[in-house]
Amino acid sequence: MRKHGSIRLRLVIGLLAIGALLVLSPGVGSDRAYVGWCDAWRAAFDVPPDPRHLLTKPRTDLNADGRIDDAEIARYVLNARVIGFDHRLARSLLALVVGATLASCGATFQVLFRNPLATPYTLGVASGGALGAMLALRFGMLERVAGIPVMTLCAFLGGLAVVALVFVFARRSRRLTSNELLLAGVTLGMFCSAMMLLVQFMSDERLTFALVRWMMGSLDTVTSARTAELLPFVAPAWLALIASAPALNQYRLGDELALSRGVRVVRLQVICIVACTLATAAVVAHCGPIGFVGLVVPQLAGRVFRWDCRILLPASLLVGGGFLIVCDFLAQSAMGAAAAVTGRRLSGTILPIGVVTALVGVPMFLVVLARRTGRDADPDR
Amino acid sequence: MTTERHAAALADPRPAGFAELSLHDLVFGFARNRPFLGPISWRVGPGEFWGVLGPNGAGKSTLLKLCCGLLRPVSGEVALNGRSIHACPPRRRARHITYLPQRLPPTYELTAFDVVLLARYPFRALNFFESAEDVEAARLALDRAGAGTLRGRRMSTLSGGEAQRVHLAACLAQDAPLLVLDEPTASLDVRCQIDVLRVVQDRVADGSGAAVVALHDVNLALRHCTHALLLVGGRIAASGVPGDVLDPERLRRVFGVRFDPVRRGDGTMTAVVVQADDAQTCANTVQSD
Repeated sequence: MRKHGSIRLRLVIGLLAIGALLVLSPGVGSDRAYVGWCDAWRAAFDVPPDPRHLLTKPRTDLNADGRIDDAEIARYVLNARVIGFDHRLARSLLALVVGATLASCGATFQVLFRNPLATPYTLGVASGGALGAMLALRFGMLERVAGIPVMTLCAFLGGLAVVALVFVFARRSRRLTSNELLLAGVTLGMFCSAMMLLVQFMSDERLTFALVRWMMGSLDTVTSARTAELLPFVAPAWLALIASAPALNQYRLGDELALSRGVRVVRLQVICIVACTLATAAVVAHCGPIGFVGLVVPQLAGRVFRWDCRILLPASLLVGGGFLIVCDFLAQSAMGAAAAVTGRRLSGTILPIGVVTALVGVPMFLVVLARRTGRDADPDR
Repeated sequence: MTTERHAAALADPRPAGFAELSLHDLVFGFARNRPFLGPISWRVGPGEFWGVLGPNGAGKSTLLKLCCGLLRPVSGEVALNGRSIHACPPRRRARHITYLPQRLPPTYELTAFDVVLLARYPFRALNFFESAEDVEAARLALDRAGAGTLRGRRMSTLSGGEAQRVHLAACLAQDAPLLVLDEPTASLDVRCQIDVLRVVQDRVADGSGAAVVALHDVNLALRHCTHALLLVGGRIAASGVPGDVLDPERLRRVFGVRFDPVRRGDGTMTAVVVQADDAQTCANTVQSD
């Protein structure tokens, strides 16, 4: 808490790293468009591409006559702009927003429930959302309402419904204690999982395949409009969480002490849970349940940025966003790299992001756990 | 709306004045129709250092929490400076009353200074980070609690007595005139017990504030407190000057242990000693239970 200087430096480094990732992102993709990040940015600022550079791109020389005419250059520039920005940068921005949301919600829940296992999905947001999406798919509701797919709406409503139920059950016991909320959330989540299995069991292969794919999570996007759709749900939640950080610091000292220092504990709990639930439900509805970010990133951020929620929450936003961008880079390029190594064409060019976050996150997490020394180990984290 | 209220709280003149804390016919029960505590009527005035004594389960901690407004009474009222404590916004209340729970809070890998700095929360309505003023107040509080040298130490490396001093410093840093401390001397050695209570005594001595401290040691209450409250079965058995309240005969009735008084030349009681044979009886009673 006292070393504000070094923490500020780390936050600046984090911001710079995110900026660098975003700058690079127009150049990373699974599609074989051979658009480099430099060319994409040149195209964006109307700087003509470097002709020497162009010659190395296999697809630019359409006539195969060894020369590149103006039409080909124009086509390349358009390509670079569309693919680099509308596809790849938009995708990275989505990854940034999703990762930041899941990680900050995870950090908040871990503080709120005083339990390092709490994740944004703990209260059943993901299960409820998945069940909602699955029912929409099952009954073929694939149209759009007000530009938003019905499946997304159903996922959103499903997630919210489960959390509302959890609240009702927990309120019955008069006090909003963390264990009751956790138990109710986990139990209802299991119920939803069972329901999903039932729906899967009763649907045909094609539907089941679509559902399983949805459950793996995906950042597929066509334009940055989807990211923009997410922001009205997510940005207020970020602000609410960061504004609650000083009160959360007091909350970590225990309900009684926090109350005696002027924190309205129940209101704090409700604000944080509602904010996290809305944000998480929006993310799940958009991208499916992307696991592990909410569990691992707060731990990683907590190792670097220590105890203070005022630091931890913004740090989780940054680390979570960066983590998911990097995972998405890997997801997009892993199959291409594998194909280049083996010399074979492999099916499915983009790995499911949920798989990559777990594959990358688990080793990182285990290293962090193993490096915890006796001095640092504390039972509450 | 909240911001407005915060602004109003900030506009409040900083040194929160303390006139009195009064309890009127206060009744509290965890289950309805079964009062656990009360009815209690009690008044704490400025400059008073109250020791709250009584057997385990008599309701000492509950009474203290009620005084801080942490629990809602079934009936009756707790009034701070003539106004109901529950009508007071929590953050404003926190500038009037500071509370130290019986079980010390988890402090993770914090340093002593961080713990004390956290107690400045009620004064930071609008600014996100601590001001230089907060840092100075925290430093001062650590010094006053005799924990100045512990400043940079991690809480996990401190002994029980040192940790208690740091938490006491946090209470001082909160800068509220009324201190409500739940057994701050539990599990401390004799020297630490005396030191902790001396810090409280110094804080109260100028007459601007008051302290309510739950204690188990009759002799500490006799030594340090200006007033004593004896709580038995949720009711006040006696209150007033410690020497009168903690009378050996009354203590025998309450605790079932016989005490011998130690008196000064002028007849005032300064300590009580458990009678040798009675300690034996107690041990037997416990065994036969």
